[in-house]
Amino acid sequence: MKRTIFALLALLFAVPFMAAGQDNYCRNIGIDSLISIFRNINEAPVYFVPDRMASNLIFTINRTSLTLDKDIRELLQEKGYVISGFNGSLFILKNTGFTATLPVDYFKSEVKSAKRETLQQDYIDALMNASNIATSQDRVYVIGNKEYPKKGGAAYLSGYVRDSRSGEPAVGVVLYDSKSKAVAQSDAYGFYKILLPLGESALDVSGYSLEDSKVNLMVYGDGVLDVVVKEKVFALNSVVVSAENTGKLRDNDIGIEKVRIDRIKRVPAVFGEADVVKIILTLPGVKSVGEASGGFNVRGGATDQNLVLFNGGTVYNPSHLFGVFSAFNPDVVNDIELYKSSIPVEYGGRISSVLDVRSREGNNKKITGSFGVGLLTARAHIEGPVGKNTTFIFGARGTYSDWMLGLLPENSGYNNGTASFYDFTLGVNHKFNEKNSIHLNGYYSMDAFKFSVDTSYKYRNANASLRWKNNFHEKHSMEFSAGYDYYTYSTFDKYNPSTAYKLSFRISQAYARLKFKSLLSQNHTITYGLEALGYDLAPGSYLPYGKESIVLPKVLDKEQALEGAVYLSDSWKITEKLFLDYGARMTLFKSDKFYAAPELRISGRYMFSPKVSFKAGFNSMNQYIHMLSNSTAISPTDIWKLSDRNIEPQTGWQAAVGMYASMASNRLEASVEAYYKKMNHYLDYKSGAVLVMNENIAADVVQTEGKAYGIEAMIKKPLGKLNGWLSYTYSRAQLRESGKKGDPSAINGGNWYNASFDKPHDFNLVGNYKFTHRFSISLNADYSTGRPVTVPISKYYYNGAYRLYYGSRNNYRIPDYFRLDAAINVEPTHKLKAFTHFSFTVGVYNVTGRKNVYSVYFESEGNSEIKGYKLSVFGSQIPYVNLNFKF
Amino acid sequence: MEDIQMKKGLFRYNILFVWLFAGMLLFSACIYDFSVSELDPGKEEVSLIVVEGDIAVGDYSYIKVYTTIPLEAVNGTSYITNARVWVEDGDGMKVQGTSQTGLYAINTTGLSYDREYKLCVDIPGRGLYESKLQPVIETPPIDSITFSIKDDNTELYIEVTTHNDSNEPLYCKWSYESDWEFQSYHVPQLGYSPSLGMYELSDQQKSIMRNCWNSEKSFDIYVANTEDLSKNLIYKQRLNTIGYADKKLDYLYSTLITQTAISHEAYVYWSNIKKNSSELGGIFAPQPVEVKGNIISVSNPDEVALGYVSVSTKSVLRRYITREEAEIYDPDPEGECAHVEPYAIDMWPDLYASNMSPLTYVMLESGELNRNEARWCMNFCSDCRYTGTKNKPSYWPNDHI
Repeated sequence: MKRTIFALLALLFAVPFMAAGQDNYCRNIGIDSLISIFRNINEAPVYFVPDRMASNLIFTINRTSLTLDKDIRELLQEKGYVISGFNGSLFILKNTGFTATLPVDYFKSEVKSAKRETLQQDYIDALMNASNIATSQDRVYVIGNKEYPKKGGAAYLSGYVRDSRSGEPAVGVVLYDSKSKAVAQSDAYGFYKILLPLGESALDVSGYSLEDSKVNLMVYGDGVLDVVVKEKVFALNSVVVSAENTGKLRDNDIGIEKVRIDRIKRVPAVFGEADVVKIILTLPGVKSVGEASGGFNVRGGATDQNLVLFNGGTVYNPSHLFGVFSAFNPDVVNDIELYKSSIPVEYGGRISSVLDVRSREGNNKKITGSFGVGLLTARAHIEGPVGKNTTFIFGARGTYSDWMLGLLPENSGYNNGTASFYDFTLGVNHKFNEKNSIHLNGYYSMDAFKFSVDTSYKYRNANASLRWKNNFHEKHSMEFSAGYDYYTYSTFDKYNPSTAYKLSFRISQAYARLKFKSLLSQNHTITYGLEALGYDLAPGSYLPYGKESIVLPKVLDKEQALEGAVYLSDSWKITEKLFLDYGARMTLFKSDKFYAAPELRISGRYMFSPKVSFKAGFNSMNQYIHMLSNSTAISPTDIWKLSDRNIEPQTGWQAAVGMYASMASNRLEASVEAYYKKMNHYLDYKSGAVLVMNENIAADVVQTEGKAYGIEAMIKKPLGKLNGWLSYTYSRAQLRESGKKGDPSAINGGNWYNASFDKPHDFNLVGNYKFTHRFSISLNADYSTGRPVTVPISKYYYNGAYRLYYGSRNNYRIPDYFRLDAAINVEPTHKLKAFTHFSFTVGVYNVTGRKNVYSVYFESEGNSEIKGYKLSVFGSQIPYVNLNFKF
Repeated sequence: MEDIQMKKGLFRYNILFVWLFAGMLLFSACIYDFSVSELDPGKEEVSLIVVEGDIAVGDYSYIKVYTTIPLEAVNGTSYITNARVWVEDGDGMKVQGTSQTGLYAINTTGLSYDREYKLCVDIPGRGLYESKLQPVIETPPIDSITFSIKDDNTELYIEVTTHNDSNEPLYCKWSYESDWEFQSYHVPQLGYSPSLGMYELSDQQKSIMRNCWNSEKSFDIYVANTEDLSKNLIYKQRLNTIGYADKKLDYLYSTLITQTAISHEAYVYWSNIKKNSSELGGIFAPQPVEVKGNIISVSNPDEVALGYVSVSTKSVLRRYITREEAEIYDPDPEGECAHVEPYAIDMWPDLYASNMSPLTYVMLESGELNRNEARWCMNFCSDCRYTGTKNKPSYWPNDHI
């Protein structure tokens, strides 16, 4: 019933966006329409080179005029166009020649003072003999062989999209052919593939913070074309379409969020540390139990139900400094993608979401780098080409926060504590040829902290991966990847020398994945592949620490398992307006028990108009590795456990619908999504269970089931002077012990209880206003309902002090959360010759100084009373400054 | 009572550290008082039966029966005084208890070590409550009570060592009762009262003001086990912590430690009580756990009753620590007592009114006493009764009055 209501609500929200008009064909037509009429009445091929102003021109013609050809020529001449014949073709060019518009090599940023005639000749050469790099929107690129045109109606065009300045792959760039409505998006390597009708095409190339451009094509057959795009230098007034906003409208997937690093860097964050994981908390449907806690919850899922991938490798603990920072270096990261609902068939293994973080490939033109300092961290990175076809990028980050601890009063007992972390990221990319490239990535992070001289904690993540991308055929491409992921933690406690111990835990896993993508026909693109993942867990070793220790060495048996999957999906263009992605993934898991389960991934999109679309999706997932924790946040001593004969895999499914509209000439994107989700076999601990070094852990955990539903609304303005987004989520997430209804020994008597991240109302604003291209201010507002906590309902004087009797699980909500952050960003000068670029950010986290409550708790104070406390992690304004130098 | 803060478990330190660490970074992390009245406790109000105490085989068993009280209630306990309490063995043999305003005493001196026992509590209007039938656990003797001093000389830890000769892992719970004698910082020659004015103290008066006693019972929960150890030995397990300026170390400190061997189940119970009492609220802190003991309501098994009754023998050991042994004691870290100033006679009523006491007259250059000018100090520096009592324990090993 609730699902229906959400669907209806989603529709209601969307109805106002559906009223989009159509152009009057004869009056106020654009130059493209005029040219196409002109083409119809001329036998010779007509080449038109749209200039920057062309799209603003408006014409009115009388189609029935007998002198239509002459009328059009006159109209064009009035607007300053010259129509000239050359080699039996007609060229419509701006009257003062090509140099009056943009120079041919405008995008190369090196304007040559060449003679007009020479340029004109070059230009025409270019038109007739297409090079395979599109750098100009004033050219027409010929694809395929004119002499041997392909039979049939369509041809494949593929290639790479690259940034003009750094030569790096441009990810998420949308190529859109308005005529055939074909659309493609460049992938993590900048690679794209699009099916175009034979004949003329004009591809709109748009991407976040890129200058919009057009690539004019003459398609005779399959071909390769690399597209060079240029990052926007100035905020232009012209209408810009961006991948960030049209992405949602045109993607078939539902519940996908993409954020580029330049956006992330502008959002104010605690200590001014650009944080690729914290940013997703500003997106609808993503929550955490509190600030400074590691982990996040997607659409009512638990923290361990998110697959966090960094260049394909799984990062088990993606946080630094107890969760204050995320573990990824913002200078190296390119973008993040979060799949909240439709999870593409090539991903699996977690039932809630996939967070895909990718690093950049590195500048292929010259060595560049940066270094930056913030309140707590220093970071540096360097990137550049090595030889002709190889690039690298290396980033390092570390903290010098230890000095803060020295400020603690000597008698506090904590000034012996320390906390430190560092991480390294390395990427090496080599392009063998047009068709083959390999990518090597490495990541290492270390955190260590000590509470006192007696106790210390340490954890490390390490990942290494290799990917080989092969576009072996125009219609088929392959990606092979293999890698090794490692996570370990250890803690030692020498509080009492006789029982001093060192406890450690380790996960290592190795994987190989093979993925194919084939464009079967104009209407079908299939993705298929297989993967294998081997787990090797050392679930605990407990060893004496020091000579005096009489601790009995204890090492739990290793856990090993193999997880495999095969998958196939088809992206089917049913009609011009209706698209369907459907696929299945078969997952297999073998530990001491064999599990096999199919997963369904279906999502469809219906385009009511180019500006309004509707999507619906269903997906089911399985998860074979579980985190066991008795704290609310991800902590450095959480246990991961593989499924075995006692612990069943977690399963989950989600159904979602959404409406998407682009408004105000594509400057605004509005979306509403509603979902319903079920989870099974989620593990919760029994009250008082000891999870570390537990040989029979299955007896100390309970299987719970969960349900979650919600509606998410978002308005986004990706570009312009004022940009950002506004989102609101209503959602619920509840759990209960499976099959224990009415059992008083079960958690909450076997009834539904609120999950600790159940925060029904959630409102987020991320805004940025650019005063000039160098100065901008950012504002970030976050409001949410307080999270549920378990509080006592009664007390009793027992064993010398008051003790508390706690009520049902999560029976109370802490006060609502509100936070406002502001920052001023000063971005580098755009003097391209300057050796270094200096930028800085000054900001205040929690401007209002609101004492947001993280937790409430109670203690027996002495032997006479119970004291209640509220803990506020960031309970006042936190000013920060962050300096960055680029060279 | 400055040592109370120091008695928290290690994890408590850890949690505090996280906040304080964050706080120092940000100058902003903070902890605020939170009143229980904000909780709206009306929703789930309960009044549960609590049974406190163990069956102390070979000794008298003392059992308390009461109900939980609302969080916001003024401190107190709602004792149930009209219950019938007895110990019963597997064959139904009963040893009845006697009541004294909520405290029930049962003579369990004659119980057999190789039988199983349970505690039964019959409460008029609420029915019969019972603990599980359990075998007697024999508690090994305490091997020693030692103390150690923190590296920076700021704290002293009382430690207990015990071992078990059997192969079964040992689970232990401790409680202690401490008494200590301390002395006033100064030995005054003078007394002052508004009615009598300044007067010289008699030797007896001086003795009364000089030596005082205080006592304290443990209220934290101390448990340990040998489950993961290669020897069945609990070595120097820390119990209470005493700060370097604590009056406990001023003259003579005595602690009587009671050791009770308990079952694994009881160990889990007490560990959870401990967690719920002092280890919550931090970022990585566990969520509160439901703590159910081994008391069930016979008539309504779904009813929650609280408390854990163990069936054990007990071992006790006493240890004295003198100021000289403790080494770290600083009687006056703030210099409050060392601060002594001469004041003229007209100031004396005001000084008395502001909690000060006279020590001696000021001596003139001639060697005579100036009876119009006296040295004064804070009153608790010259009279121990301001912070202590004259309740000298009967066993005290000296003849101080």
